[in-house]
Order: sequence, then C-alpha cells, then structure tokens
Amino acid sequence: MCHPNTNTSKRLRVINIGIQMFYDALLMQDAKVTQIEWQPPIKQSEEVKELIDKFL
Amino acid sequence: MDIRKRILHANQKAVDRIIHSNPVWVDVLPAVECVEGLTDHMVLHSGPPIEFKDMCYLHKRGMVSGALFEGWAKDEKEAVAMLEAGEIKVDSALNHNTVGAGTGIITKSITMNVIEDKATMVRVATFPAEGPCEGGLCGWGLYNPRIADNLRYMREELFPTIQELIRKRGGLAIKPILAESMQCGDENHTRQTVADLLYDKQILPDLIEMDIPKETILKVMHYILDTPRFFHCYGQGASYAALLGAVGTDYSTMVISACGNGIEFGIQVAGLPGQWFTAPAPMMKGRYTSSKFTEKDQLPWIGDSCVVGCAGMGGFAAAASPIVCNLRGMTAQEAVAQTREMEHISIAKNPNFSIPALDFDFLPVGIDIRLVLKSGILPIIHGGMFNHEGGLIGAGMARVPMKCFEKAMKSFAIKYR
Repeated sequence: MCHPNTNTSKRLRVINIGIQMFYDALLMQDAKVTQIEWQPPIKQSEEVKELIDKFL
Repeated sequence: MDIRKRILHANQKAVDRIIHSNPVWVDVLPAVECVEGLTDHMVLHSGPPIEFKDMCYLHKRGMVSGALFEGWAKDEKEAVAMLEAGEIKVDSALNHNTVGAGTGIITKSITMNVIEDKATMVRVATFPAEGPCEGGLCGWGLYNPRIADNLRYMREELFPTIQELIRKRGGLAIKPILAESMQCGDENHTRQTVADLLYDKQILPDLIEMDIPKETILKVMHYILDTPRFFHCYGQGASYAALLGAVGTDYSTMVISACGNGIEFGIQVAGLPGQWFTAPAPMMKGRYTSSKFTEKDQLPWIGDSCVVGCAGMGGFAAAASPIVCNLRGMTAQEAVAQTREMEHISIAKNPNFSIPALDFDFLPVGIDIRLVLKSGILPIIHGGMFNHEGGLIGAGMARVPMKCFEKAMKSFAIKYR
C-alpha cells in the first residue's frame, strides 16, 4: 500500500466524509484528517417523511 | 399545546418509568396465580400474536408440549386437534404481564419468578431456566419424560424452598445487580456471568441458613450454580415491569416491547396500547456454536428477551460488554460505537447505568420510533440463534425491521392527528 505522504512534497490534508475506517486509516499514516459524520439520506415514503416532519 | 411538545413531555414521562423503576424479585408462584389473563387450556408463546396454523415448527411443538405437560391431551394427535379446534387458546406472552424468552411456552402450572416494580407496583412473572434441561419446555418448546420430571421437580421440590427463601428474605433488589454487572462485562442479554455471581452472593448465604435438610440445600444450590445465565429471567422481568409502567402514556412514541415468533417481528409503543406493528422477522448475524451450522439452519428471530434492549440493556449496552461483541468478531472500539449509535435513537440516558468503557457516561435508554425513522438507525438487539428444530446454535445480533416503525408512526398519526 502506498503511504499517503511518501510521494508528495507536502503533508496530505484530508477531509473525510462518512466512513470512519478511512479516517482511522489515514490518521494512522500521519495524514492530517478532519472527519465529517455523514450518511446517505434515508429513503422514506413521502407519507412517512411528512409524519416525521409533523411529529419530530 | 404543540404536538411535538406533548410528545416530548410524554416520552420523558415514559422513559422515567424505566429510569426510576425499582424492580424487586418478590415471590415464586405457579403461572396461573401471577400471569394476568392466563386461564386453563391456554398456552402463551413468544413474539407477536399468531394463530396456531401459521406458527413455525418450534412454536407448534411448544403448543403441543404445553398441552401434554398439563395433561389436556393424551398424545400429540389429540393436542393438535384441540389446538386446531380452538379448544386450547393461544396468545402472545407479552399481551400479559410476562415475557416469553425463546419459544416462551407458558401454561398454568409453570413455576414463575415474580418481579415487582416498587415504583409503580407493576408485577411481571418470568419462567426460570430449566437447570439440566436448559431451555426445556418453556424456552425451547421441548417435551419428553426427562423434561416433564424436571418441571415437576422444580414445581414440587425446588421452588417451594426458593419461595420460602425469597419470602423470608423480603425480596431481592434487581437493579443494583444489573448496574454492577454492566460495569463488569455483562450486557444482560447474551451475558449474565457477573450478574449470576452477584445473585449467588446474596441468595446462597440465606439458603444455607435455612432450617431444612442439608440435602435439599445442596440440591437447590446446585440447581442455581449449574444453570448458566440463571439471572437472565430476572433481568427480563425487571425490564418488562418497568416498560409496562409506561404503557398507556398518551402521546408517547417510546417502544415498550420488541419480539419475534420465528415468522414475524413485532413492536409495541407506549402511546398506542394493545397494538402490534409487525414485519417479517429478521435473521441474526453472529457466531455459530459449530462450523457445521450456516444461515440455512437458523430460524428468523424468535423470543421476547429483547425487552431488555427496550429497557436500555442488551444491544444498547454493547459498550458494557466488549466480550459479547467480540464473539461476533467486533473490537472493543466497535462495541462502544454500537452503544453510541443507539444513542441517536434513544430518548434519554440512564444515570443508573454508568459504563467504564464510555468513560463512565450513561447507557442510552428508551427507543423513540420518530428518531428511528428520521435517522434510519435501526435498534440492535442481541440474542441467541435457534435452529428450525429447536436448541441454540449460536449467539449474535439483528436489527429491528424498519417496517415496524413505519406502521407504528402511521397508527400514531391516526390516533393523535
């Protein structure tokens, strides 16, 4: 596996969106990483979406 | 008042029933004396209600086993005929003040432990494990001469002693055992190793001091010590007693039960008493007891014991028990992450359950159907895997199906429009 900092003259600076294990892997390789929690929007029927908006 | 505010108040009230519950093991009684609505010629089962003809093999066999144990039928053929004709009634255990672990077969003569929530005086009865017969009739729906003899022995010799003990003792508080055991590696669904020891520490000295023959003391002691996960039934009773205290809280969207019957999985909601919201029962992921087992051997979710998850233990307490999670190949960090994930769908945190691996943060408690639907995070439930013929073939986890929550939300909208 290629080390993220091996082939660059500057340190990598990464924003990782979503999957935590990518963040962990980069962190262990001394990359500077910011983690943003994200997951794909939930698929709900329009009816359920309306009910969530009404009650939550 | 705005509907959202009403729901917030209602959910706080409902979750407070769990947080402020004070479950105490108070008695040992035959099921007919402590399970409300349980009559002669009636068999209770785990999971949402289902007719005899639609049941999985395990439940059908359990119904027949119950009928034979009670002497309602002379053989299997007669028992089946009576069940098909409706001469023996069947019902979901959770429709009563009891919990059906595994197959959850309960008939009038089964010996039950009675747990009383001293905060609300709600009583719940749960059946004890059947010692050398393990799941036996109640948990696995099995019946043979050995199981019958053991059940009679439990009823006529073993539990009269235990009944005398607990009555003389004035009860046993369950919550301190749950709390301490979860600081020492139990999540109180799949693992009760520490809870068992804490129970033994309190009960055995009283047993030894009883003015009864030494032989009887030794028999009872061996039954308690040799039965794995002996405390499990107390944790379930404590959980369901607390949850029943929340039933009928108007506007509450908190889940008060979750269970499967091998065909369907169902949930109930505090603000919608008496209604079931079902979907096909999920398969479990986990570790089998032998490499010869595969998913083909596994029955979809069966059992009511995930009421402990509804009360903030089990899958919600993964961080308390990395060792249980490790059985499914998870790391300690992932066990913590599981509990943190469950926080997103929980109403509150339970200050009674402070967990070392969470830096002494509290466990999440009270599943909110709205938060499940909004986040898409499905509750994780821990449990045992059964095969199609009965018996445990492994342990693992499943997620409660989304369909249950969608149906519940729609019914909530009809009632509280």
